[in-house]
Amino acid sequence: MAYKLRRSRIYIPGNNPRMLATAGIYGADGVTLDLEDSVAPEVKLDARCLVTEALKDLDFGRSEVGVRINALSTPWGLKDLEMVIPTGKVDVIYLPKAESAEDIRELEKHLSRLEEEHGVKKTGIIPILESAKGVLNAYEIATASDRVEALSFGGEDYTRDIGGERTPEGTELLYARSRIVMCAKAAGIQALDTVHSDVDDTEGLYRAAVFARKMGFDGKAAIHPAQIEIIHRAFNPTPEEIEHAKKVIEAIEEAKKRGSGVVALGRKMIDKPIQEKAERVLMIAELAGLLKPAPGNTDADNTGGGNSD
Amino acid sequence: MSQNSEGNAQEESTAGTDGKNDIIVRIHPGKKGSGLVFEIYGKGESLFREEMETSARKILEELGVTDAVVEMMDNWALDFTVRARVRAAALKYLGRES
Repeated sequence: MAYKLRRSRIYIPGNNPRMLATAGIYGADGVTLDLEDSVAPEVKLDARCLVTEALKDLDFGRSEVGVRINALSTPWGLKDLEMVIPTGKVDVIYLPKAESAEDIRELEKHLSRLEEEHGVKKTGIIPILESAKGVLNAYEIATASDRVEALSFGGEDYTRDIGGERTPEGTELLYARSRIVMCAKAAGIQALDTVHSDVDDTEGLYRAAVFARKMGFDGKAAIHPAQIEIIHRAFNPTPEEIEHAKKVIEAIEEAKKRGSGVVALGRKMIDKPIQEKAERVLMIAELAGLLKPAPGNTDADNTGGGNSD
Repeated sequence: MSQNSEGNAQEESTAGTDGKNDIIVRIHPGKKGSGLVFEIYGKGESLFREEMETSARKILEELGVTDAVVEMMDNWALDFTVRARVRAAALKYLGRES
């Protein structure tokens, strides 16, 4: 599966026409049209209709289009699917409160049926793990279907479930975040971090996002457009990292030309992990539009990344 | 409460909010044979009345709403919102919410 840039995804309340109409202009890697927590029970139908019509009409730009449905154990989850999937505009379904492989297989069964009935594209699945049970079963959830493209973490509900308390340091989330990254990567898929709920705390968001990137997460959820650029800045490779990665790849190419099996950059040996890290840095930089075109090559930067940093 | 030709209950129903770029749609049972009667007010009424009525009529006919009074209070709703609010109100009106 080709790597998808998922540094940021922004939650858009599903019953808010104004926010839906502008969702595509923020430059997030993904939009998550929300039918779950941001929608009160008495307006679930209203939101479902609104998100469905928005999917039919609106251009979400370069953002991947996700819909967070209600859990399939609620009276609304299946109805959400039955309305949004036939539009053929949904790239991924975010499944909240995923706790077992069976949850994923049930969703997959409904998706397969609806896609076939309406002749629409195959939809990806991103389970949201937000309970002790969900985190414990992360690997079986990640490997339950080839539709599962990433594991996402829901830190607020998880903290409530374990009887913990959110702290500025986020120590209470550390085990769950580590486990989710490990299980996602063992399954060969992405890991997406939880939201930073204090919209005014931009420094805290940046620190949390950098920490998430260093832990191995591929991105972080946003609840406000102002958070997107900060998250991108945290997840983008720095200019120094990009330059270093280029040098690593150049050194490997040079060694190949010389027929040498030993590759070094300065006095440092380049082994497989360093090569893979450099390749990953350059791949993300390219997808994010961070690579400057080579002199005389005006197409080199045309990767659609739209990076704002 | 009244009933349509298939004997289904029809209750006054509402969808939407008075928020910006939204529209409140309210559907009441009409007299038998009266057809769809539109009462459109609000910010975009003078410019987009015809478009709003066309969009609403299409959805209502698709869902089988026949004799009804459809009130629409607009606050600069885009077409996707008009369609969504009419559909939600109509589904409630027809008792097909669940």
